[in-house]
Amino acid sequence: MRFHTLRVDGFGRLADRTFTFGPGLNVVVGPNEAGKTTLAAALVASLYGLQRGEKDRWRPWTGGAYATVLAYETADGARWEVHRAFERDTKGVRVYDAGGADAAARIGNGKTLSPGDAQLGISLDVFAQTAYARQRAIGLDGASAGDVSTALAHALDGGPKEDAALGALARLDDALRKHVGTERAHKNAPLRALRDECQRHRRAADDARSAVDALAALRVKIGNARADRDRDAAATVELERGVRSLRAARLAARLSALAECRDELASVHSEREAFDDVQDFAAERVTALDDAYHSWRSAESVAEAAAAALAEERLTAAESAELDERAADAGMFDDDAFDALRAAAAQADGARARAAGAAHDAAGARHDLEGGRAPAGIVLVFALVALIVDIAFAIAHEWLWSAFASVFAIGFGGAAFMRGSAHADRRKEAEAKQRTADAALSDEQRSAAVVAAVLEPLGLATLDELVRRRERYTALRARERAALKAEARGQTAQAAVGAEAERFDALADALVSDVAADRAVRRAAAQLRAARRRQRDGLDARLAMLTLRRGDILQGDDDFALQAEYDALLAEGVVPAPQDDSQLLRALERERAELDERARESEKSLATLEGALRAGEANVPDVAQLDEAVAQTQAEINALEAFERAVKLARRIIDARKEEAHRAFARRLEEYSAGVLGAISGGRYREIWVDPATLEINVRVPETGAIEVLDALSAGTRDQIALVVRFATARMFAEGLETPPVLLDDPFAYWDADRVARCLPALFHGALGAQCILFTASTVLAGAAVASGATRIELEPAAVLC
Amino acid sequence: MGEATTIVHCADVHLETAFTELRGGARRRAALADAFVRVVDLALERRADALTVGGDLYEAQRAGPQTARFIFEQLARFGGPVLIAPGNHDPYSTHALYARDDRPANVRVFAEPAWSAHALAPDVTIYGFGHAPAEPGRPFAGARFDRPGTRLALVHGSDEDRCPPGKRATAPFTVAEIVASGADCALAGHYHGGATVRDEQGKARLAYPGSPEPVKFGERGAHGALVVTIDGDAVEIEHVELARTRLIDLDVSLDDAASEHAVLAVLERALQPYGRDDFLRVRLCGTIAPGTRVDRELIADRCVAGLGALELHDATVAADYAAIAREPNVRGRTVADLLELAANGDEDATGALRYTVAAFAGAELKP
Repeated sequence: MRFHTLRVDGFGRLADRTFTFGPGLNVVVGPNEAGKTTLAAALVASLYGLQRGEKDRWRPWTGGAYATVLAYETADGARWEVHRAFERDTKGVRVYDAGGADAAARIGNGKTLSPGDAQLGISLDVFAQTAYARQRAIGLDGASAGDVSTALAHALDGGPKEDAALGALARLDDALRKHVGTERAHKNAPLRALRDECQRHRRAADDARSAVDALAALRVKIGNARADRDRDAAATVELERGVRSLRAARLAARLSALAECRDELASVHSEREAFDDVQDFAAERVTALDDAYHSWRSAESVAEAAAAALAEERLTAAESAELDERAADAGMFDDDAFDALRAAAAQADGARARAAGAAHDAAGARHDLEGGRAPAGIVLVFALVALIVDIAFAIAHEWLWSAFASVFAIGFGGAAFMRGSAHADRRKEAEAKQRTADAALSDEQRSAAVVAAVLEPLGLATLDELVRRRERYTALRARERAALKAEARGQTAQAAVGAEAERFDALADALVSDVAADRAVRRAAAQLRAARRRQRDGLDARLAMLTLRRGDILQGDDDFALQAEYDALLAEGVVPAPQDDSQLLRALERERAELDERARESEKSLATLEGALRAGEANVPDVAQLDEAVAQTQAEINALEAFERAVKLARRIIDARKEEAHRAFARRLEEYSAGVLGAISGGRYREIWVDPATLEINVRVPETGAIEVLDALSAGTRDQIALVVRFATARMFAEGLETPPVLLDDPFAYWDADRVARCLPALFHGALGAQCILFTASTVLAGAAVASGATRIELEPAAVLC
Repeated sequence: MGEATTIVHCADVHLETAFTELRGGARRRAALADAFVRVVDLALERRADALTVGGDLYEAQRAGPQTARFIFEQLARFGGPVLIAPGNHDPYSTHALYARDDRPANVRVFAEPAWSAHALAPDVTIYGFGHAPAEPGRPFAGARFDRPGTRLALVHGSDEDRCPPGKRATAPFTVAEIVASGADCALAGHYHGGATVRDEQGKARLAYPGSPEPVKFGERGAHGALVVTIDGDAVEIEHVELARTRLIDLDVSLDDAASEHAVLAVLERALQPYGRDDFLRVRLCGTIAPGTRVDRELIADRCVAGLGALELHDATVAADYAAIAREPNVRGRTVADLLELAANGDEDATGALRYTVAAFAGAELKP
């Protein structure tokens, strides 16, 4: 692409001005604030339109029309004009071809019309990063590296004008997100949702199958329950037959027993009639009558015994006289006095005995005393002799014999001493015993005197006589008292006899009033009647027992009803059992009751099961439909998974090929740059590497041989190299796309003259392949450029609004 | 010589099958039930002396009470003796429909994996062999049928000589085994395509009626029932077609279709001969113009109304992959790589080609 003219009606400080550009290098020279940047911006805006936020920035200062017209030519020789009315934004752009025809349909893209995008094939951002270098922004912005590298790859690809790999990758990613979902997504995860749905369908199908199977099992259970019920029903029928047979036998036995009972009752009634005469006899009173009789008879015996006792106990005349005599002597002592007297006598006897003993002891002691003197004297003599011998031996200096004699002397001396002591003790003892004897004798004498004082007035010699007389007195007196008691008892007994007789007579009058005889006879009569009454009572008891027995047999039933039941059973053809076995009957009835209970439970259980079956069968799920839902969902999953695999495969290969393409263009960029770089750097930098993804530039520093990133070099060197890369980029765009014009807005403002001088060849070289418009304030640079054939465009102050 | 004995024999009705290959399962299940009704109608029409069922009357995993009531109603409607040899899909067990106590009295089920004889007529005996849940082995191994008159074996199993390659044989047997057992002919079930196997003398030795309605795509052979006529020693087999539904696999070429409208038009023309009893799997093939939309949901919506069911598989090619593969750009190299993978059997590569071209073209990507 090559700009021909730009007419500016109004754009920033520029108004009503037309600029004409030549091929190759153009130099727009003007002082600062002359509008160089404005002109560059107007060129870019004419191609691409204004970016968001720039509309007010470039609004014409004059307030006039905000418009430009750019005439340019593409590489194929076609000429175009872009008319921009910036006030109307995207609606204010028209593109005409050389014939004046509206070219919107040819180069528009839907609703947008951007000659820069359509004809250069690169976005504004890529243009700005590659073809449009601003002051102090010669280096490529890393943030835009991706777009630039994509555009470069696109250019080198020579491919279609559609989006390149990045766009394709983005669409593939979008498709995956939309149709498959991502692993982390909680919402909008279609594949996961499908899998969950499939799982639900599967569970529902399994549950449905289980429900159907459960119904089948329930049917089997119902069948078994019915079989059990029928079996129990058959057993019940059989059991009932047995029960009825036994019941018939039981009824027969009862009826037979009832008949027996009935006969026996009649017999007893008949027998009882013979005792009607004693029907009202109070037999229970006969016992009292007997008691009264026995009491009367006992009383009589007692009275007789009392009389006999009286006769026995009564004192004779002689005994009475004796009693009087004894009362005068032995009777005068009361018991206490008599006991004292006897005690005194005993004491005297005791004293006597003690005195005798003491006298004997004293005699003995005196005897010992006399006898002990002689042995003591003898021992003393021996002791004296031993002593004398001892002295003799000592004088004779026979010490051994002296020692022996000493021993004997000491021994005999000691013995004599001991005997002397013993003799003294014996004397003392003898004297004590003599004193004791004397005391005992005194006691005896005192006691004897007391006794004598009592006996002598009575003319008794001994106490024993007194004792004998007292005993006799006591006995006679006891007899006298006994006789009195016997007499009293006799009287009492007589009274009792009379009372009992009266009692008996009263009872006998009540019971046997018609019997006039003695009591024994009357009693016997009463007893006879009582016995007959008992007989009658016995018959009554038999009757009661028979009645009870009948009641037991009937057990509350009516005998006619029993007979009727029995007849009914026979009429039904029931054969009574051979014998009545109530135990077996009860057992069978229990068993039947259990069977009945079981049958009821079975019916209840069966009803419940059948109800459950009906309910279950009313809600049978459609298993086939559920299985189909599972299969269909699974098929959808399979399709989505295949889609996912295919998209990921496509993505992987596109990505790999993209990387490969980027690596390729990076090499080309390096090749382009290396040649020019060496020239403009004075040979310093000849090797350059460009990262295809980030477009980061690395160069080898000749001094160190190290590879340094561009940012590590000086600003001037950095700009130099960046400029070279920009030109290389523009050349690469030329290969596959339209070559963009390169706009350099005073890139050398801060370079020294030497560097600028070295850069000029690069400029000219670069401008060989692309139209280059250099905006500069440097008249020297402008002059040098013009001298080399560049087109000069002056930005006079007169073109600038003050 | 007594009167000839007529038997109507069917098998593989597969009531309550789940049709997973295609939608419209409910309609097809209804069609299976209708077919069984037609079998019973045939038996009544031909005044058959017996109705035999060679297994797989229903799907045990899915059949419930209403299936039982339907089957029993039909069998009771026939009224005559019904002999059933359960198959591997409806084996006899306490839970089987055959074990229900409301089974009609005229139905006899061969409940064991062993031969039992049923005297249908003084000179016609049917020996039946039933499947239980476990694999029954070779039914005719050691079998000896020796009752006088004509002996027919009723069994569900695989004729080994006709077993499709790769398919597992169930209760396998051979015609030689049938002959060795003493049976005059075996009335079988298991293969859904009906056929009769005859010996060198032309005598029918083995007959499959086929399923009354097709169950799976690709089934070849007759679909209906057999009318078996026994007259003396002769056993005649007549196949009676009963199927009304068709399962059809159809390839429709969309070559050069440049628009969705064209695609729809081609399909409507292709599907025009088919009707409500046809269940189709349509494979769209050919090369369509780039960007041409093939919306399966729209196609199904437009075309399914007159059909039993329609399943579409889009195998169209949206671009000249070979030409794209020659492009010296990322797209070209990618397509070349994928073509190579596809040629080596990578199934994902075929889909990846479509999506690659669509992604570069900015078209919407859909599964």
